[in-house]
Amino acid sequence: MKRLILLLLLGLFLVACTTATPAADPAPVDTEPTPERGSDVARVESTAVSEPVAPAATIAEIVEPMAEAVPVVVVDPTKALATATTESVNTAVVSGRTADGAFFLGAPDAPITLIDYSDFL
Amino acid sequence: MLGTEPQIIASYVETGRVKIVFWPVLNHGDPSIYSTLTAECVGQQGSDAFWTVHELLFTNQRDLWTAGRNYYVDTAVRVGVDQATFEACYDSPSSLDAVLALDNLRRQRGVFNQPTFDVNGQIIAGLHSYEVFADVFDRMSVER
Repeated sequence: MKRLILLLLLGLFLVACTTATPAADPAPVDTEPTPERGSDVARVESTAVSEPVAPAATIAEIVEPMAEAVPVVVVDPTKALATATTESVNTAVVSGRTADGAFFLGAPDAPITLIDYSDFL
Repeated sequence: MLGTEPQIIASYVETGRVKIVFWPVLNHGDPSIYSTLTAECVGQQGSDAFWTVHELLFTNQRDLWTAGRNYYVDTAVRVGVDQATFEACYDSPSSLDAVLALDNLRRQRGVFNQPTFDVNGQIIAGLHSYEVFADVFDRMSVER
C-alpha cells in the first residue's frame, strides 16, 4: 500500500514538473538587429517576398541622399557652338530710332539686325 | 511677327545678339496708314512706348480695319502717352509724311509684300516659326 501511495505521489510530482513554466526564461522581446547596410538590404529583399513593403520607406533606407542636387541640362550641340562663338552678352535692351526714322529694339551695336517689314493689319 | 517676337526678344534681343527694326509696309490703304501713324505719334513720345503700342496694335489687329481717330486716341492713352501731344502729332501733315517716307523707302529697296524680314541682308519672306529665325541667327553667329 505504501508503495502504491509513493508511486502516486511520484507520478503527481512528475506531472507537476513537466507542466510548470520555467520562471527563468526571459520574456520575449520584439527586437530587430541593428541595421547594417548589407543585412538591411537582405532583410528588405526577404520581406519583399512574403509581405509588401512600402517602396518609399525601402528606398529611403537603402539609398543615401545626394549631397547636392545636380541639374540635368540637355544641350543642342549646334546651338551650344553658336552661343560659344557669340560676342559679349549685353542684357541692356534699349530702343530708339534708326537714321531713317524707323524704330528699333535692342543693342545698337548688335551683330545681327532683323528688319521687320510689316503692317499692323 | 507678333507670334514669334516675344521669343526672339527673350533669346536674342535681350542677350545683345539681335536688334529688331520695325519698318512699316502700308499695303492696306487708310487702315495701314493710320495705325502706323498712331505708332509713329506714340513713338515720338518715347521709343519704349512705340514698342508697347506696336504690340497692342498687332494684338487688336481685327479692330484696325474699321478703326477711326477716336479708337487710335484711346489706344494712345492706354499706353500712357499724353493725349494732347498725340492728337497734335496725329493731325500734323509732317507726321504723316514721315510715315509715308518710310513706306517709300521700302519700295525703293524692293520690298513689296509683308511680312518680309531682312536679317543682315538675307531675305526671309512670309511668316515663319521661331525656330526658323533662331536657326538663321545661330548660323550667322557661327559664321562671324
